[in-house]
Amino acid sequence: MKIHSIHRQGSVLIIALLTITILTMICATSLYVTSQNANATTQTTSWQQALAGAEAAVDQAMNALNRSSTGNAGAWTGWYTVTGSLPKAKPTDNTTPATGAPAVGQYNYYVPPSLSLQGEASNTMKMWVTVDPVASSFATSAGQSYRIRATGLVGAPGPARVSNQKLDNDLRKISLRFDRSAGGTVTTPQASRTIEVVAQPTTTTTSNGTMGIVTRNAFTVGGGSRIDSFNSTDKINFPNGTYTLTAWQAAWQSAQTDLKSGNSTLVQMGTNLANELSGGNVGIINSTGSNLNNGPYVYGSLTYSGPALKGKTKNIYGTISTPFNATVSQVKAPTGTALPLPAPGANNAITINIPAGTTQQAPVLYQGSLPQNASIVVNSPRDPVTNLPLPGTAYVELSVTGDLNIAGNGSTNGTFTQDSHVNTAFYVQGNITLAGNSITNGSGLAQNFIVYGVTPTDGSARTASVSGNGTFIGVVDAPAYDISYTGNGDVVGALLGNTLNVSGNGNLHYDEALDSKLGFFSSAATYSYASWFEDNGDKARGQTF
Amino acid sequence: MKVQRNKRRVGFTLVELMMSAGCASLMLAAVLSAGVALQRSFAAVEGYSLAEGDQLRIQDYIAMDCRRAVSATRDNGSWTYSSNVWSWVSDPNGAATLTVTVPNYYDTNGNPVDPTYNPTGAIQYGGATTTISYYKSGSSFMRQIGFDPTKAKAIATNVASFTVNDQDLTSRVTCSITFSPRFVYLPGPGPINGTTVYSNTFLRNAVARQ
Repeated sequence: MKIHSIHRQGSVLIIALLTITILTMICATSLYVTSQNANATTQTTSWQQALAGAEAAVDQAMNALNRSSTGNAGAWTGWYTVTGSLPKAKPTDNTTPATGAPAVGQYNYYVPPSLSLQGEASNTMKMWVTVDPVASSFATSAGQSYRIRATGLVGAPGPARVSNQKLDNDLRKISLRFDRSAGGTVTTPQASRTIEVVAQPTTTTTSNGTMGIVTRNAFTVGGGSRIDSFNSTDKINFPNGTYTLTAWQAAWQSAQTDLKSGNSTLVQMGTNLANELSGGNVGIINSTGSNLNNGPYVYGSLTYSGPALKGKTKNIYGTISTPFNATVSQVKAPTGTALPLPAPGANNAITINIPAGTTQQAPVLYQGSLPQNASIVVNSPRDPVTNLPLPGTAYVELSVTGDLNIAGNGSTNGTFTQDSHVNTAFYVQGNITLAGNSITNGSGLAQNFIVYGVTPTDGSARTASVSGNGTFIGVVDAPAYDISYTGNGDVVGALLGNTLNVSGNGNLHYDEALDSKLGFFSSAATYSYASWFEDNGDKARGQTF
Repeated sequence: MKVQRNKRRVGFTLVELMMSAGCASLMLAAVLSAGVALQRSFAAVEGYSLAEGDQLRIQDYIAMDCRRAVSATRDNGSWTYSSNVWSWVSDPNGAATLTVTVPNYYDTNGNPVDPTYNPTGAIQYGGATTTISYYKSGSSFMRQIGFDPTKAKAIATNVASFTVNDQDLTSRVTCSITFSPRFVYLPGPGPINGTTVYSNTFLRNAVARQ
């Protein structure tokens, strides 16, 4: 028997399977690599989002500190106070709601509500923040500083897998299974970042905003007083920097003529001059009880907050606007090494000879009380040969623990005399009585004679009066004082008080050279960043920076 | 027994074979082309992913260190080892180097220390500082903590250039890093020259900003 067999071999299936296997491996490898890239991208995104969360938590703490410093009762709502050292994990002790900034040995903490995120990374952002004073010595001259430590926590979706971008691992320390910041384990990967900020108190003062009169409360004016302005550095229109009504009127006429001429250069000059002459601005923070009565002549603008002003406003040259949002800088007595005020000599005269070398930043400071009838003479440093005043300005601060009374002739009340090179700043803790004709400001410049009324710490009331028929050249900056301005004498300078009652026929001429000299107002934010540090260390891996 | 020979012959004609071979060739060519294109696309995506990772990492590193720095300097030069001490030597032909100084936030055990005020009224941590330097070495971008360059770590690769803007560095640092292209096959206009990323960061602890 002969069998013819036909030899058939099939390789198509093998080739097909092999091809499919190779293609599958290629696809699987590509998918694996792509998956790792996606994982790395997710972790990067989560890590960056965590910083935003931490900074948002710092902002919450800064907000609480600033609101607390301005006396806002709800500043620490939602915060809790805990006694002990700072925690590494999110605190949970909510037995003591915070009522104020933490004391030494305590910290306040806050857990803001989680934020929902839209995107391909995590869908929630959590954060928590602590505030502590570190130590009682951790302070500036303006007060206690605080350490703010905030952590932002964002989930890192995806498998608990180390990034395929190996160089990322020293930077983005993702907690995959072990919580790198708080210890313990985590159920899902997460990225957390912690930053530490030092918030220190600041006393930020601003210029007085070109304001001749500022009151925290009622401003009342009885007669037809005039409030205008000039600039003592404008020696062209005001020879020697001295205000006279005649000079002001001539300058005003000149400015109006320039404005009408149409000549652009002259208009510009006229505009500036008109502005110089109409800067007698008035600011009233709370107008309750204010009354303009017959209407003062205000060559400037009036800004106020509170109820509408009573009385006539027809004589106000500028605008009338509301509100007037401002925070008045409170006055504190100067600190530092102080010399005792010299004892009165013959005729109760007190003579102060300012030593050489004083500056505005480093004046010589005297402290003590003044007798009622003392006459004060302040001399600038003298050339030992010629006995003439040395060039420049000498600065002295007189911190008076009681009343200041400069409203007489030296027998029953006091007088004050300073030469043309002296700049005197009184810091008075008691009541203040001033009369223009009892004060000789040798320079004729308001910026060289400033009387500060120190704000009482107990909130008690203080009074200040400016009276007499002579011109008072100076500034009264007494935000807690009720000021009465009587008599027929003018004031060349500025007045700031709790209230101001103008009952005489005196006029106020604001000197715009004071714009850069005074600090009537302070900013609302009283804490600022002194330091910022991100803690990216990983102690478990022996890494710090 | 007579064996019946199967005389039936089944097969394709020459024309069929040629047509099928032609179709198969076309399909294979298409598959190969698609495969090559996919691989190229994958390589491009992979290169882009790596490049973006490097770029983000450098920016995040520099931003983090500059934000917490108290000062920054730039210079060309290198570290030299002499008398058992590493020290910086300026050299116009040396690598452009950005050096930032950060507070010593950690103690020797790696724990954060409490802040204090120094005599000039600035915040300090432990009273000392640590320097962190950035520079290009070969095609790698290095981050060095302290003065010992042997402990520097590469934080990115494929770097073509590193430039720190000539400016006042007391309050901010502006620098740029250019990366060589990873995926150079591009039809049409041809390969790109590289990718440049910029970093502009304020020094939050610098005295000038306090």
